[in-house]
Amino acid sequence: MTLTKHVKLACLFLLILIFSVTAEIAGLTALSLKNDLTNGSISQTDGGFCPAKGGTLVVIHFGDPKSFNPDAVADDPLYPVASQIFNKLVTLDANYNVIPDLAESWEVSPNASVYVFHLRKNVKWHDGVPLTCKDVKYTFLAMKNFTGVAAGLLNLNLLKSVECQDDYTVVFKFSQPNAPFLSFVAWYGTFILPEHIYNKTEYTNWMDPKIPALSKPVGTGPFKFVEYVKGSHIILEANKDYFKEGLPCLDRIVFKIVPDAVAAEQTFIAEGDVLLTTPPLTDLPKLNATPGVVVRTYPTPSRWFLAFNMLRDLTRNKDFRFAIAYALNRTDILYRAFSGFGFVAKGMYVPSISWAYNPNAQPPEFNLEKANQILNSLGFKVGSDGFRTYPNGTRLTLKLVSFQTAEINAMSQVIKEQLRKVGIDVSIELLDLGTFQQKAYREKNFDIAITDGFWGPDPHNLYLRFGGGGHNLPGYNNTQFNDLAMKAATTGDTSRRKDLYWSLQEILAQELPIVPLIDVLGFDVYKAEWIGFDRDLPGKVGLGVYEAVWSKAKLTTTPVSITTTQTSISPTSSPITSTTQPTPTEGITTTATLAVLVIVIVIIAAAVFMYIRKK
Amino acid sequence: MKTPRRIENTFKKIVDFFNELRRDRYGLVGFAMLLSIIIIALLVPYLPIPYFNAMEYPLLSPPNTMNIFGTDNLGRDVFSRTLWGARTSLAVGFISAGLSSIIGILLGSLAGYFRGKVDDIISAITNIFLTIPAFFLSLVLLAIFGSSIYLIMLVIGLTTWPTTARVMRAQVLSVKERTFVEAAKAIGASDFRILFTHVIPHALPPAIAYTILQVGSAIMIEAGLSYLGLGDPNYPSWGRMIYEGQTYIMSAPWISLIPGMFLVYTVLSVNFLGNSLLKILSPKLKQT
Amino acid sequence: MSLVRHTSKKIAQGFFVIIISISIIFFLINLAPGDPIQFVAGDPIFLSKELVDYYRKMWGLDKPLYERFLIYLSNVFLRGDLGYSYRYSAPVIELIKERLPVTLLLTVVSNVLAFILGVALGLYASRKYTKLSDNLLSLVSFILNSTPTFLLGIVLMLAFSIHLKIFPVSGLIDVRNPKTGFMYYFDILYHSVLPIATLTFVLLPMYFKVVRDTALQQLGEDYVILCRAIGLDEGRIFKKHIFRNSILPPITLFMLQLGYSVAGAAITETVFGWPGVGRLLLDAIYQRDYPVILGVYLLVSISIVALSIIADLVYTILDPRIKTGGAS
Repeated sequence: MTLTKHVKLACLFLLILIFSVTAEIAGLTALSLKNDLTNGSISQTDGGFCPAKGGTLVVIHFGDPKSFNPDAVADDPLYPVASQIFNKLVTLDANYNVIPDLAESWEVSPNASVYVFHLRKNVKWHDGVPLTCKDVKYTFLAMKNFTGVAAGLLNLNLLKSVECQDDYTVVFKFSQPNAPFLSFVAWYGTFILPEHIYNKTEYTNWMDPKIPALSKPVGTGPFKFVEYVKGSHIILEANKDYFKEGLPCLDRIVFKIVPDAVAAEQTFIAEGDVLLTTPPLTDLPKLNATPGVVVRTYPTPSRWFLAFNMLRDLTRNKDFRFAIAYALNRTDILYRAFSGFGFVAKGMYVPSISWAYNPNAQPPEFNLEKANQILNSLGFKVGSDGFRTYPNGTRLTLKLVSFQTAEINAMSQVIKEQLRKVGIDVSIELLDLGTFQQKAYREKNFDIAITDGFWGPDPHNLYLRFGGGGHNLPGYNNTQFNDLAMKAATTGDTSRRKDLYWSLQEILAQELPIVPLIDVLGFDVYKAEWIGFDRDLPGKVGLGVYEAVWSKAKLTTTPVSITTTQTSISPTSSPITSTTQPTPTEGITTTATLAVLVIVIVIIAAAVFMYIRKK
Repeated sequence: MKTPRRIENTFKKIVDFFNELRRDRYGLVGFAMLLSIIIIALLVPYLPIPYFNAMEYPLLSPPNTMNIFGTDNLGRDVFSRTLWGARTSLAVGFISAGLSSIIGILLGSLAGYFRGKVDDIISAITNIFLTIPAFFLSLVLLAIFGSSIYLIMLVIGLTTWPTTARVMRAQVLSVKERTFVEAAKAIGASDFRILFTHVIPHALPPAIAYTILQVGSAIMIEAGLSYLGLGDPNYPSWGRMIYEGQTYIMSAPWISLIPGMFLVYTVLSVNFLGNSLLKILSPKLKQT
Repeated sequence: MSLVRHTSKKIAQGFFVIIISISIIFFLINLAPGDPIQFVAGDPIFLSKELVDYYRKMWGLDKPLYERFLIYLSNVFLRGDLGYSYRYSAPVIELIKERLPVTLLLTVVSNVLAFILGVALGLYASRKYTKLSDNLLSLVSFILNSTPTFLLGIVLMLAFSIHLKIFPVSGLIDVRNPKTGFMYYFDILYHSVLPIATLTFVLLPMYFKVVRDTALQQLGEDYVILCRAIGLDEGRIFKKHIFRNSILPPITLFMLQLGYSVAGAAITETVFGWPGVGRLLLDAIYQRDYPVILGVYLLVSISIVALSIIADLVYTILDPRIKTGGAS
């Protein structure tokens, strides 16, 4: 018994050693590989990306798509599937840079009101019909007419015309400058649809159930649709006529739908290749330690933040907002609610969109003394029960409103506890998403609210979240902010935009309508056998596209140079020592309490026993 | 002079009741189990244990001398939370069962006493509530209006009364025929007076047994709702603890299994007690 | 003749109950704060006024409430049209049809198993009344009756899938190696062992208790005492008389339970990740998919009402003591 244990330990040690050594080497090779790719011309895709062909990639997927029209509604479960079947004009790579997709190149007018895209000439739909400018024109007009999900972000109401100069040149003209357009075209809900299938007179709109492509999508992407069984799986097969020659490397992709996190993780280990269902974050190290599984982590532009209701007297008080910000220990939130998997949010915009991020505009750091000081000076006295009261004696209670997810549940509990430490009572109200949006965005029925969101791909997002429109959660209203934001949206000059967005972030840091909490940790979980994901080929492959993924197991001769980066997984922050060292007396009292309770139960049991016996 | 005799009577009744309970071992054991959990729930605020939401410990540590039931994913003491959870779960159980019984007893006795149109209408309502999938109705209500502990109690109370109403109706029907009711009618007492002073007290015993059983099922319903994420996040309840721990079921099973054990213990105690009460208190079963 | 009248009266009542039940849900979800369009937009930064207006109009949410209700009722009862799901943009009836077999496999099989096991064990326990085996069975039945479905499911999953690794953790089939022919059905069966076991254990105590109580009551009846006095063999008494007289209540219970089986396994389906009707309804509730909520609700109400009528009918036919129309 003990012998096998020792052998196991030794094996484990050896494995770790091997991993760390390969990680060293791989780090270097991955770097050189990356340089190689970014230097090469982007439209060129040689067979070099596919050292081995064939195989089935089994993706453990988190949900059923709503339909197979990727542009109509927000459909997160469809997105990873649609990325394989469809293409956009331009797309984002793993670093959120805009890269070519169906358009080889593009030009933007200096005032950002005219956009010209030059399409590739060798693109065919999965049914053999060639892709032309007509398809692009149809897609964007349909987005405008049928209110596609991206229509608002793309400002399609400002669209004057979409013209086809020839079969392969599209010209967009806007009535006003529209600088964020390109980034948003590269992001979400902008896949190009086949005009010859969708645009028939008998269809009332692009979600007409008579359209065959809604259940059997036809795209231009690296994979063709084969089969979809609701609640079970989606099967795709390689598109032999894909416009990037030699791609895709795989034969098939199977999306197995397992929404439950725990079940998905087990299924992934047993029979999956890629895990898209978010596993419990604390399982990441265990997953990473599982032989043959790779966990790769990176920061994302998605951010959790706490918004103050700027329409309520209490939270409209800037000092009070700063007091709350001082009272929040964001490192502790990261450690407890996210088990350390994530990043304490820096600045008032996300660092991962690096060109627009202003490192000088920072929210206050955790400081209990300052928080208490401000609250005292505002006249909130601590009562005998440890909670502060208004001068008139009512308890200082904040209503925290959010929606129901595991992260929010954990985060709201931690925030409730942290604010209890400065004497503020928090009452948590977790709603479903629909009610939350009604209560928080429209009725503004909250004191503080927690939500998350994607802050990319363009800093115009700041205007959406703090300026006009219905997306302004805190109800922040500052004319200077709005003016600067509009200026930034109407200029094509990137360096000028950067300056404007920097000053916007400074305004936000001074006024603090929100407290940025945590930047979401992105992670890819996949089997070590596979290589060629978006993050292996930045600048080359679109976000989440599996066109260049291939299996090392299919290689006849073992390659020396090709290995993926094997980053070891550990929480990005270390636990706070002061809070993790409880005083020993508490431990003793807990045990004593248990003893007392056991005695109580035993006495009751004895009494009952004697009572029965008396009979 | 009347009151002391009444008290004496009640006291005698209670003694009789315990003597009867003694014959049914299940009932007595159930009573003791329930008593122990009630005592714990009452004692909790005075026990020297950490505050239920205090986050002062390492995350996910297995049971040890410091945290005898281990800690959860936020570094809270599972022992403390489980004991505090007893308060929430028992409160939900007793209050919603009480609410459900009051509605059931009132509607059932009205239907049984007045018969005719009143009976038809109340029976139709009872029928509808028996047919509606009550659990899903509660889910819809909580999902839409946000889950607070009070709404949970209200919803459980409002959807579980039909059984009690049916039992009560049958009881009232038989009590109504007894001579003392006839006598009271002959004296000229009003219907409501007869109903509340003579009929309901005599028809009540089986309904009490059902109320006790209802406590168990209310605790289970609350746990089920919490498991689907619709519990109140401001209070620790066993169902909510199981829900929060289920993500860690493989790495830290104690987070959900320990409150689960307490839950089964409590519901079991209530079921033991309720069943033997049913045997003692309902005249039909007593004969056999 | 009176049986026909009795039944048609029951059917009329049932129809009334269904209408009331569906109206309660209809008005409840439509009067609730928030609206389903949020789910079309996802992240609120997508939510433009044009988008809201477009979908309100498309889904008919711009009409007044009573008009929507009348339209819904006429669609359902005159045309059999349950509407379109907001979330899946597919007919509700199709969604239900796809998932119904999965749910029925789970619920019907476990109901049958629980029925057979419950009757057998109940009779056995009543025969061994107050002996050790009876006490033990009653205790187990009590414990199972006090365990929430999800806890039982989690414990079974922990024990058999995660520690012993005998059964798969979740899902309906093995997608990695799709089986064909006979093996396909075997695969489904293999995946359904744990969910069916869970649901069977949940239902078992109910049948057990009913059978045991009825049998014990029968044992106290005069005819049994007479049989015993004559010196009839105990096994014979059980086989010929007790069994025959104690089978009726569990049959009625079985019918009633079948009525709930359309969506009664929602929690089991959630624990084991089964794509059944129960989960469809749960998802629809979280996503505000009104047509699906209403559709499943309607289906559940109809099946409960229908099977309670059938149970009533069966009871009347099988039990000669009950005269139709008369009070018991």
